[in-house]
Amino acid sequence: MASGLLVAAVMVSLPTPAPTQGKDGARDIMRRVLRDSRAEDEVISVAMQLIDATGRVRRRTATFYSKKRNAEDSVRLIRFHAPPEFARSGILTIERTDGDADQWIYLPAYHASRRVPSANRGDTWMGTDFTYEDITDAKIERYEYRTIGSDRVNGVACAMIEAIPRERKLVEESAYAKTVSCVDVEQSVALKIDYYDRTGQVFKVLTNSGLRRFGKYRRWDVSEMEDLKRKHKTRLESGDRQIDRGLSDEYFDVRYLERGR
Amino acid sequence: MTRLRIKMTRDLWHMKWRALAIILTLASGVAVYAGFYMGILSLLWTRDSIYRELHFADLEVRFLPDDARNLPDLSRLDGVTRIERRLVYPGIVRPAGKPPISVVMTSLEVPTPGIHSFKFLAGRPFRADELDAVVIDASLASYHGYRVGDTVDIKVGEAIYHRRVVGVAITPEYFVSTSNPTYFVPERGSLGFIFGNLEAMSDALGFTLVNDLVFLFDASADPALVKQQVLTRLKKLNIEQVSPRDRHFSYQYVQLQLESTRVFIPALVTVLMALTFIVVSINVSRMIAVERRQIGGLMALGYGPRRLLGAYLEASLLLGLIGGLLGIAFSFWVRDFFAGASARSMGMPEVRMTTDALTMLRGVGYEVAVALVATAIPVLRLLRLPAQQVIRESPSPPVFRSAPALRGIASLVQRLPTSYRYGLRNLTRQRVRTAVTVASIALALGVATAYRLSLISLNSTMSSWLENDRWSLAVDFLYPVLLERVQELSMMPSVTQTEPYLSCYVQTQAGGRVGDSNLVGIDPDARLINVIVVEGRKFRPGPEREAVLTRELARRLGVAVGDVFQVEAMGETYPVRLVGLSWAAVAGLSIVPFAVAQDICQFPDKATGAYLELGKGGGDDARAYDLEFVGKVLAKRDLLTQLRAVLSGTIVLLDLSTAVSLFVGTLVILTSINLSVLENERDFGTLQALGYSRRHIATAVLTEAGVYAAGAVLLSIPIAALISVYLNERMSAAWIQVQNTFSPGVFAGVLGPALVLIPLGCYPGIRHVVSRAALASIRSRILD
Repeated sequence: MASGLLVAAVMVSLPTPAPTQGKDGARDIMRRVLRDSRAEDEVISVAMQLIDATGRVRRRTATFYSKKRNAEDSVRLIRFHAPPEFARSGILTIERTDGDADQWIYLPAYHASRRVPSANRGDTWMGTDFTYEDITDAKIERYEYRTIGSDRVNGVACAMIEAIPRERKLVEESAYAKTVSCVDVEQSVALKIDYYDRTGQVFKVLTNSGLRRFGKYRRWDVSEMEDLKRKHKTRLESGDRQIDRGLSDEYFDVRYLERGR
Repeated sequence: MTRLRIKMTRDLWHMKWRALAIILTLASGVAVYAGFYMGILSLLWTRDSIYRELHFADLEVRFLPDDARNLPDLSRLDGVTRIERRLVYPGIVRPAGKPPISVVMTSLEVPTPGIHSFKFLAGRPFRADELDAVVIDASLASYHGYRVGDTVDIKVGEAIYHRRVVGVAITPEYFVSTSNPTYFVPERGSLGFIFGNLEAMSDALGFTLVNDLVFLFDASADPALVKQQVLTRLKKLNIEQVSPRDRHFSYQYVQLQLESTRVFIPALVTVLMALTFIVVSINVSRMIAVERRQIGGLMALGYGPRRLLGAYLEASLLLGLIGGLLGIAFSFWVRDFFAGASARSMGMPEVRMTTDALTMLRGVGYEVAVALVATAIPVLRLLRLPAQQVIRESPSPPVFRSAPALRGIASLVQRLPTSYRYGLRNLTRQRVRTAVTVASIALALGVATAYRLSLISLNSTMSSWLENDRWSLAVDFLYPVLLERVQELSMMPSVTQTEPYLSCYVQTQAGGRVGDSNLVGIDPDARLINVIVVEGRKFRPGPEREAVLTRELARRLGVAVGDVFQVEAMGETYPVRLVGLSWAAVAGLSIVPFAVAQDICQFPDKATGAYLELGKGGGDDARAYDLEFVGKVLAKRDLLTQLRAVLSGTIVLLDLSTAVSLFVGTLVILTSINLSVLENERDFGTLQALGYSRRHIATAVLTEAGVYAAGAVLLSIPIAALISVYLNERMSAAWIQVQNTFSPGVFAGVLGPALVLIPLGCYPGIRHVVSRAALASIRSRILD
């Protein structure tokens, strides 16, 4: 289960009831992680660092906007501010209960937004190590979950939950053959996620750190995705954060995306 | 050499000036035919040879910018010999104190690309480690004055790239029109091309962003199969445009322009051939008229019609071949002039002239054939008579004796002084000769007038477009702008009304036919701009997409009003119904309702330009440039100049044809008028012997010439009108719907001078007649 975990990592995490044991326990855990990751609306300033194999760091700034539309779906906008090549660029994601999320990318140089086909869900965006599917909510029913063990990350105990896509279309389009999430069941947050390619090798690792409480929500301060093959990292550091402030719907349409600010 | 051949040689020598006129007329026809067609071949050869030498891509695929590592594996593609990745972004350059220039900035993985290679006119390629160096396209240098060593600031999105120009190059990709295709009237130089180092972008971004792949195919590969294979491999990309070589903009642009020109050339050649026929026919008729007693004598001596006809055809063939050779020599000049002017009009930086023997032979063949037919007809008419009749034929009786209705005029003529009376008598005694002379001069004048009329028609057609339009300024934007921002134009003090339009480049298809098109969306109820529909009706808003196409585009697609065709844009295909045909100076327009354009171009709530109506005292065009999205402001008063620039290739063709027809027309006039004078040489000798002065004789000749001039001028008016209608019809078929305009000024401009110059044209004849001893003239009459 890959989708939504970046969202979960950067934006969300609610205290949850004790994990359900039984046949669907792993699925329930993941459902809670995702459910609790979503505030009514949220705006976060994010500083990105792209660190290549030589250690060279390139910086980006962006604002993440999100809003819950219903119990299942959210809308999400990532707006870049720097560097100038990406200033005013954006990625808009509109979840659909009954199908794939609609995603648009806007590049000011093109003066128009373009829809991202679902076939490209496994592609990375804006040079980061994150894929388009990382910024959509997962459809829980599209994956097989199972708990494969337990581990400790930074001294915190976690359940290792494996997620494998069940639908053929998803298998073909996703960059991930499977994921293994290390979930703090008590907090309903993912501490770490390993991403496997089609050869069964781990090729990316997401690590979260600096869990903080914002009212009734818990949020990570830092999330770092490392591409083990490229030896490339993308580090997200959350800055100013506004939660449940009544964010307007106007942020989440193509027109606003193209307006660029 | 047979006696007959000796006689023909001697006769030709006697009529050497007329022979020269025939040769020059034939040469003009060959020169125009071979010159224009070789000009077209040269331009096509230039395109194709540059494409080959500079490795024009067999396939180009443009897609949404993506990280290079997201691209699918492109190895082991059968039939593909080379692939290059590029980042192609639109940008803006703002030269100080000048309107901004739209540019296309192409970032290359290698300094010297192996596909769409460079031919350097100045400077050098950028080095792999030079991140701030760029090579510019020749048009940016020629139209905007950028040189090696200059710096240029290119705004792409929010980023501004400060770059050094290290080279100026021609590329096959952009070697023709450098017009911004979305502009209301495409203007050469309004789009520039800059090539930089992709590493510079990658260095700034931290990854390699690409959005364009170009492919070279193996020469033996089937392009369609390879293309299919490539597209299958690329299916995951967000593809915006797929351009095989023959559908590439620059390839199609040259093809379209030259095919349009090719359609018009037969009309020019037909008119010139008609003139050739007249010139040859008149001269041969005069030749046999003068020699008819000798011909009759030869017939009496046993020379059969076939031998005599053969002798005349042989002479005609000789003149034809000499004219052909001379025409071939002239054709190189016509080719160079026409190809050079057309290349300039298309923005081609160089022309490679080519010579085509087959075209030249065809030109000579057609002209010789016309000359032979024009010779055979009068000769056969004479040879079918018995020898006695050929020898003894008496002159036609004067018209006044047999035409009672004209007796009044005759009595008036009787009161004229002798010189005038003699001139008029000559005309009436040889009515056929008079009629033929008047007709031939009228035709020559008519052709020249017709070309002028067609030029004026073209101009007035373009001017008339403006009459029904209320807009004062057409403002083109540098990029699609949200409609709410378009309203900023309304804030300009003198603007009373604003109507946006949306334009984008699409491909249209119907059946197996494909045509590039500029899709323009305007409000169906627009008040400032008027869509002129020549067939069908204007589009209406509604559930079905409707379009009005320019006629030549509909013809290219093979669609008629009522048919449905496909419009392909941004990887999507839309069915559109053709409801009307229109015409415009700019070819390949698909005019649709604004909402349909927004849908197809995928620019919701945006416009690429706007028409503005200015109130009284308005006219401060430059103020529009204060808005950062404004790329070009065209005032209606300047439109004609712009359109003339767009149509300059057409106008050169017309100008050249007018010049040739004037030249041939002058030959016809000089030949006809002097022949007429010379035929009466012996009569003039008699008058001289009777004591008439040279002045009297000159007056008689001038009277005759004056009547010819007046008659020919009158007759040339309907001839000019008819030929002009024919030329306009052909021009409409080739380019734009030209309205027939019969401007009295044009008639006066050609025919007025003709009235004066035709009599002057008989000056050589007068000089010959009055300088010849009267005795010699009389002696020749007695011998006859």
